[in-house]
Amino acid sequence: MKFALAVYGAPANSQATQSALHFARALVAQGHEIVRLFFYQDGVNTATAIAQPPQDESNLSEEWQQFVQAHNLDAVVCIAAALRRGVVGQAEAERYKLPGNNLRKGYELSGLGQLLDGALMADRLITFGA
Amino acid sequence: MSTLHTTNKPGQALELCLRAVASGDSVLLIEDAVYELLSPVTRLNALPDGCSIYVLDIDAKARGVKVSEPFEAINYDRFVSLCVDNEKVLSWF
Amino acid sequence: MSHSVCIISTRAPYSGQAAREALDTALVSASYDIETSLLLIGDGVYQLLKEQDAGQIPRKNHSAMLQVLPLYGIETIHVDQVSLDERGISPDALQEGVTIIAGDELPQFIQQHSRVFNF
Repeated sequence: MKFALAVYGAPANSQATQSALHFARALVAQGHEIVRLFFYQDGVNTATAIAQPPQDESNLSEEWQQFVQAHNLDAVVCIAAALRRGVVGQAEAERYKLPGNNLRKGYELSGLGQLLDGALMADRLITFGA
Repeated sequence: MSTLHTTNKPGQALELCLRAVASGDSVLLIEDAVYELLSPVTRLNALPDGCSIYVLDIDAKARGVKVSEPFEAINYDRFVSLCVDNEKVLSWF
Repeated sequence: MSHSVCIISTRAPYSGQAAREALDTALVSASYDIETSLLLIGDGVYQLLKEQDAGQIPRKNHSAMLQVLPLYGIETIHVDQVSLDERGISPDALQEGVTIIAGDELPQFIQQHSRVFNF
């Protein structure tokens, strides 16, 4: 079955990213297809490359990136929500003259239409809220 | 035409979730919603006919909350199966 | 297959971005020519109070943003009766263009849509 997952919470202020990762791993293990991952609201923080949790805690941003890359997933970060919260790629950094960029590889910044498309493409939309 | 409702906290999220439940739907408590099992005034027992309530086992264990009848503790594999078996999944948070 | 979308917005307008980001999702959905409903429920009903003067904070006026919905083909905003009652809000206190959903109609109202987005 085709699934779209939406993640609305950040690693540091909710369990949403952790729950979504458990769920996504179970989906893949059962042979289901993840047609789109969409990070929106504070969920965009999952895609930052410059958060560094303490060594004895799990690094959810890193775990998510590894999962996305291992399964070659279509992982979209809402561009408007990301710009607002300081998650930017190189193009946005140049366009807005920001002092750096921090979007992890494997993610694409794109519009909210990708959430709609994902939900319409999939048989089920599962949302992990904050 | 049944729906799986997930909810991740007590208070408004759980309240709205329970109000949206129709006969034959299922409810899954995840994250902080598992604390609702401790409430002496919970409305979890007043759902329409044919509704089942599930609790995500690791979230309950992590918080020191015991799951007992009529509620059923499930793992992520069952969570996925419930998503397949119900036509829609609504997430209340 | 033709889809219909229900956007459920449960947050008050000015504490964070959730109300705004739910509204944006409704606008995107409607701009795709998908039949779209916006349902305000729980603290989401506060979005509809008249005479918001968000410039005081300052923020963009959420009530004014809701008023663009008809331009996108969303003619009415659905609001949950029980949430209004619990908060002591009478229908007169709300801006124009709302349809009130009675408590026992709620599950069926949501279910008639093929895709539901919770916020």
